[in-house]
Amino acid sequence: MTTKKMTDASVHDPLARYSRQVFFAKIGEQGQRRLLDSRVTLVGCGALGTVLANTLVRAGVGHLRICDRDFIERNNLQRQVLFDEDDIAAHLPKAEAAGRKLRRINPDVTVEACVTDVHRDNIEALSADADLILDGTDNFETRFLINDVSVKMTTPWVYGAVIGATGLCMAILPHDTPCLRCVFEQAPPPEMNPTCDTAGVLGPAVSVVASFQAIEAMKILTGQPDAVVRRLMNIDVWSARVTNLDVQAAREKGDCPCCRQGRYDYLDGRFGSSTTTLCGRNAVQVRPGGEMSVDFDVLSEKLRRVSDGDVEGNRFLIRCRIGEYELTVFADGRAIIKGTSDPDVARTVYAKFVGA
Amino acid sequence: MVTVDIQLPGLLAQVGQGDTLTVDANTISGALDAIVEIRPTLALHLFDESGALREHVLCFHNGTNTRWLDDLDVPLVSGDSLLFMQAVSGG
Repeated sequence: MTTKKMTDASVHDPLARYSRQVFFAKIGEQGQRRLLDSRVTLVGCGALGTVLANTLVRAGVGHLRICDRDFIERNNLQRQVLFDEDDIAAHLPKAEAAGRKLRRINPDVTVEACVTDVHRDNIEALSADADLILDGTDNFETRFLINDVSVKMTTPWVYGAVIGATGLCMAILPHDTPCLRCVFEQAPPPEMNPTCDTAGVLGPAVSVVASFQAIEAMKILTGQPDAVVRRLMNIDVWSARVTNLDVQAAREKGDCPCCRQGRYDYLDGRFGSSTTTLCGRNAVQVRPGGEMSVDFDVLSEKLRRVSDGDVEGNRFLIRCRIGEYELTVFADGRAIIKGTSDPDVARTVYAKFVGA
Repeated sequence: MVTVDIQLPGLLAQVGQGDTLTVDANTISGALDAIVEIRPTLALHLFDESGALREHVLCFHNGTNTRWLDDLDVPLVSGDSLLFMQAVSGG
């Protein structure tokens, strides 16, 4: 009888599920109600994205929109916590698989799965009603695009990135704290930008970085901007070291093209990659934004770790095969991805193995 | 000259063959010269063709970004630290 009463109470009290979180004074009942009323757009649902989605759905955000263009591979399971072998067997896209899992975890949260490549033509629609944008992406181009939208719409976002045992996290409160382009004016060139697919990544590093992102998100969503860590967090789980770095001067003294000059280069299409499907060749050309000159020696070394066979080339291009794709990278950073005619797939392959 | 601790977390540790080193220098600028003298493989990753710090690399003097200093001839004192880190894109 006692058990039945407790069960009934927990079903009818919408806060009961979150009681241990409500007991924490800095969230409390008021904070929990704000969380329940909040809307979040998550861009990318891989390693960081699955931890973020899992944490926020359990915490009780009201509405979570998950945007991802990718499918699940077996080597994802080591760190992408919402997926399993059954999802791979069912050939589920990541957003869809995550949505199904999350609805079982907490049916009170509205989870909207969007199987889509986030680009400049759809990002405003995907984030227009969001109180917060969360970064679960794996490339700088999309992050700079999120940054443009965030500053333009005055919607906060939380940058997170991870590789190996290290990562970065920074909350961006537009027109208040430095934006991403204040801190990093440019993305690293591809040959100096290892990705998780070329340099590896540890699950615990992902969990720690995403957890720092999630707690910053909860502060913002519960209306506590003063509690946000206004620093760039540098995290190394191997040595158990977190260093909070002062970047405030980047906003106060810099002349950021985005948040100071009001130029949205990625959203307006001045920067950012473009793709061209090469008719009849089962290939797509990916052209990165901006001018660049690739150091073939460094990029070849990076690709050699993941290629099937040698990385061949000359002074004009390098070429290798990775799985079902043949990658040809040119000195200007342009690449032709052979083995697909789908621009989204080509962009994913480029981001994974060349970098973006 | 004073001895300064240099930290190279993450990606730079791979090309710098270790995540810490110490150098003797009078200024931040002098420390930068000393770093690439000791670890030449870092030069390509830290500096562009003009010798300036790359735009995706940040240098922190005692935890504060040096990007907006007028110059890097800032005197160093015993116990100072420099930390270099580059943008990370994985996720």
